[in-house]
Amino acid sequence: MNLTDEIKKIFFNNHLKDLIEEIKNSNIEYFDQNTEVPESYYISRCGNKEVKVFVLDDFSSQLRVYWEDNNELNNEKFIESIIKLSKELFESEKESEEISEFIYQMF
Amino acid sequence: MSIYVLGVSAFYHDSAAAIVKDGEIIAAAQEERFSRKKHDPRFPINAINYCLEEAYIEPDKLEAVVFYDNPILTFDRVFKTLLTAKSNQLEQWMRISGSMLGVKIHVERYIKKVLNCDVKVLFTEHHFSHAASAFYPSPFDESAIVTLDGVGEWATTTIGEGNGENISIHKEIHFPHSLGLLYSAFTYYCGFKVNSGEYKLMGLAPYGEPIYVDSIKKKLIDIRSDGSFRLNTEYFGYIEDNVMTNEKFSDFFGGKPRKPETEITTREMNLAASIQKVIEESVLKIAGHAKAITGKGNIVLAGGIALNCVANGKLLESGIFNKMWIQPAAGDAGGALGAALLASYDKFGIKRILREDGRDMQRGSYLGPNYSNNEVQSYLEKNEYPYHNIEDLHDRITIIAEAISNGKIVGYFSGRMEYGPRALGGRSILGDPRNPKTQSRMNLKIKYRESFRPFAPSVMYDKVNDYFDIEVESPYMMFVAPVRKRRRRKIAKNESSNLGNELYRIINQRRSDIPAVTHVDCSARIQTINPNDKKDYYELISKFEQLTGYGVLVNTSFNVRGEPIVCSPHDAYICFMRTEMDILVLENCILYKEDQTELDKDNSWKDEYELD
Repeated sequence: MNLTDEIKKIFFNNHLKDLIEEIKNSNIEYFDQNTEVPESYYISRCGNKEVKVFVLDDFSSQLRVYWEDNNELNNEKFIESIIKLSKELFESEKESEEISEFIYQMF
Repeated sequence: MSIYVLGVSAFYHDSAAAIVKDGEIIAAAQEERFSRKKHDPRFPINAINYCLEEAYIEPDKLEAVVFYDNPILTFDRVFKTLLTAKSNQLEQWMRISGSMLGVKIHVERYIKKVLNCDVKVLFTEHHFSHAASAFYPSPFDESAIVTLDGVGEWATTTIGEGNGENISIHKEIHFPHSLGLLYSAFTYYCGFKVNSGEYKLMGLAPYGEPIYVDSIKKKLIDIRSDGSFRLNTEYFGYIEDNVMTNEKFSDFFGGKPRKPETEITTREMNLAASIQKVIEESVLKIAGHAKAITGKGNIVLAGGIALNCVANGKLLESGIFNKMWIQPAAGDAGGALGAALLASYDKFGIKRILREDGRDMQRGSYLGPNYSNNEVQSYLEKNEYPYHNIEDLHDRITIIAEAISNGKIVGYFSGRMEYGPRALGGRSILGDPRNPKTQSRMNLKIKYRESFRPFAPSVMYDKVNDYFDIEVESPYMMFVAPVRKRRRRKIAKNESSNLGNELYRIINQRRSDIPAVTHVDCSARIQTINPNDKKDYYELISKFEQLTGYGVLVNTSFNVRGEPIVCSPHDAYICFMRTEMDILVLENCILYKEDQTELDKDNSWKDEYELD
């Protein structure tokens, strides 16, 4: 395991492991998996989502605002450590040229 | 002062750049064409450099660079997918955290570093990019807009509308519910590569029977009457694994996924036919709802699902909308163009001016690099490759048309390279559609690929009705339509070859008088050629018609399997020499295979390109 992988693993153990457990034991549902069958599955867009082109000068503060707007304060506490990790990874991560043949490229 | 805006799409698949001047599209290209890495997801530095060169400006003259996706929303989705995965979270984290945190959220820094200037960097949303790429270049002042793909940030499907300079999105469907992911799941299960083999599944569909439609609709997807849908994620692996489908999916369809490159069986053919029907039903219902909520007479489409030209053909045929326009670079590559156009009109206040002749602003999608005849000749002279320089267009097309009519296969490199996945006569391999052997010869000796896949016809726009049942121009090969009934022929039962399995028994049947472009269901993926878009190509087909009575050619992309479409004369020459093409046309220069010295016999080049 290289140093970068080590950093990622430490982050997972220190920050994410407990959160995953917490979510598992809570009612938090990020995806629409409702068993009810509504008339329509469309979601309407509204409010400031109509801002189509924008500046993104500070990832951490804008992520904080986004999570606050969505009442997802649980995640907020990780922002600083995520940003710290991202700075470390920016120095070491290389762009991948590989595209999986087994899963849609979405992560 | 003109306003130049550069659009960039990157980091997922099919990275690209596009440059727009005062709302006019100047240039656009995918990175893969320069890097020679198919679907290259890396930051499109080569495509950006090309766009700046074509616009003849330095980076500091850019008003802004616009990235096609919102990294905050994407991070949010990726983060929440990880948090809610039922297993393998650490493995997932190790796989995705590097690219997400180390690369994707640092887009602005990347752009400034690469361009070496303090340019303004803007962002938009993935589906706004798609929507803008569909609406702004279209010939419509107003229209409904539908975007359908795998996933952007959260949205996978959107319905909106465009009016003049303004676009808006009214409704969305969010991840993990996605028609693109559903289609990719079947692509994977049928043994084709996800992210690239989806069009093979579409090509396979007419060989099968749609016997699984009800099962799919009962268990995998619930489609409402307004076209909205929800997937049953219990059957899919993409939320917590590295594959699209899981064991439950396999159990449901009675076996494991087909292994790539193994025999294609009736099961895969029937699955392909079934999922195609489900996609068509969804697209038609979504379009119907778009019509109902926008009241528009026209529709524009983008997103990977919009590359499903069979579904597009059904939508056209349905008459739900009077007119349709589809962004030819409908996948993520087109997001670069959409982002640049959106900022130009929405942010910088450019006034949108439609063409008076009613044609679109995509310029035939010939938006990539071109090479002058002097450059071509310099290349050929330097390498001592024998050629004939035929300056006169009439003389040149006569030679080419005669050769094709005599069964020769021609690599045709002419003018600017196409933007989008289709070759449209700029970087094409051409053949005679009348010859029943053209399809298998082009497939096996030139493209080195499976022979079940059909080739597309390029047809003179004013002769299209002589061959196909389609009432509109299809300049970007985005519609499938039937071959005219009078051109079809009945196939006698004893005509089936006994070669191989079910699939190969029916491939070589002669279904019409243009068999090389007639698919098993007597349909064709049509490209109409208008001289306003590409005069030399129109003239070539016209000459072929004078010689043979047929105003149609077989047109396939200039590449071998797994290779990006050729970009430069060098790419074209190497591809020509590695395959059994007979003639290469590089602008005014014609090269005959028999005049050339064979390349090194080493076949290791085949390993350069992964099978697609």
